[in-house]
Amino acid sequence: MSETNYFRLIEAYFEGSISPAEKVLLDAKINSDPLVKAEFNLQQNIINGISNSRKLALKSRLASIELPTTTGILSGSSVKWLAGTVAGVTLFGTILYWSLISLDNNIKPIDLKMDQKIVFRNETTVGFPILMEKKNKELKDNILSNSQDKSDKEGEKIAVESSEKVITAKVQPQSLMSFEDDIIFTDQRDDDELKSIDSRDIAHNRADKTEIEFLDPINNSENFNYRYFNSKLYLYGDFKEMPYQIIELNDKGKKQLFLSHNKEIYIIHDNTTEITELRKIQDDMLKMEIQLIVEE
Amino acid sequence: MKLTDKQIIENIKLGDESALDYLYKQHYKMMLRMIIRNNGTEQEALDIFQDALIVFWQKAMDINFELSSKISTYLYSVCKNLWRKELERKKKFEESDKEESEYNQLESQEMVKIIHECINELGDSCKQILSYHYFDGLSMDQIAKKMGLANSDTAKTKRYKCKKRLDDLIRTRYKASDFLD
Repeated sequence: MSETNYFRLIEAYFEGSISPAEKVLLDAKINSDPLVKAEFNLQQNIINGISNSRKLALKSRLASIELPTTTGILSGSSVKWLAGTVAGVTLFGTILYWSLISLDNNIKPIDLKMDQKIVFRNETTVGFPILMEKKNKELKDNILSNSQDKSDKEGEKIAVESSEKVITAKVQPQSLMSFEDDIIFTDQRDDDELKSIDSRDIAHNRADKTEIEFLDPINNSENFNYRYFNSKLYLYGDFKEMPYQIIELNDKGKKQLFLSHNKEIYIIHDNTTEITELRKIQDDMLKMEIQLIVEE
Repeated sequence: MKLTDKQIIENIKLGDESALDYLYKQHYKMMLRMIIRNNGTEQEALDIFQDALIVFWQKAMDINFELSSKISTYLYSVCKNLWRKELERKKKFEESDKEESEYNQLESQEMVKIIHECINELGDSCKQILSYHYFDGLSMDQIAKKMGLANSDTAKTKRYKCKKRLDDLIRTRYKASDFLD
């Protein structure tokens, strides 16, 4: 076969019309004839050049689209929602309380690595601990009477604490860092990069543990309820022993807990001393991002 | 107007580039958060997301393309993989012999520059037809419709002439033997 025919084969190769037999022939020639190989490389570069030219055109089209300049955590709808939560908590709490928390958190760099461990104290339990009906009833009575008689608060506390020994679990919130090569990321950081991340990033960064206690549903309702107080989470409802995860988003010391259960994400507000219904996240973007974090 | 995933893919298959604009505006916040959280800058994040959209554009153009998840999930995965590759590339560059790598890069950049200049010397219709054929993978029939040509044969002839012109332009500046190793 003449060289011209090989050039025709090269053209057919890039058109996608080359037959298997012709491809074998061309491969052999490319390996043995440097000129044919050079022509093949040239054509390859031309096709790549055409593709790159088109990519550049599409990219410049996208780059010309005006986007809001603030892209940090404080710009999205989910963030507005988070900010609202924080504002609510601030009203509920005291300025002094937040000052102390913020002082505490300002000195901590973002920890991009974190493990999650779920360790049930009762090792025979898998998933959600099985509850002791009697203890739950006592506890529920205590909690429900709480809103009516504030003087019972101390008694309730004692009841809650006494039940811990049987049905509690310790959870460390999962890291937001999503790639396997976390170490590469941390190694590559320099101080400037860290500063820019500190100023606008979100990360899981809770060093302490969230203690969880599972209780029977309130009035046999199918809804899930909770109380979150002093880093202890009381969950009410039939969780059907399905896996769950507690996720914490941390932005400049403002933390927000979420519960992931049965493909749904629920929000957990800090310092919710009253029994409150667990609300599903409505913001699709936030929900999807948390789900992706959970899946990873 | 909110578009469904199905509508977006249909629009892309028709070559409607505004579908990309829509996806860009719709999902950039999530992609930015993910990349910035993983040590990227805002500019890098936008760059990666634009690349991810172009990957999606090419995939969606394929007749055999079937989306098995939501577009946002697909884009998120592509972004994640592209960003991972970018970090690996950065790391390799830091570890490699920078002088040698810069020399090779310059040589290859020179070749790319010449090819790019020659492409720009072609008229717009030639650039379009070659892009639609080699990048978007459109059929001659689709190209004919998109460019208002009489039929697929006309498109085929035009494509052939444009490619030949480009080859000739490049050959006046480079011989194939210049690409010998």
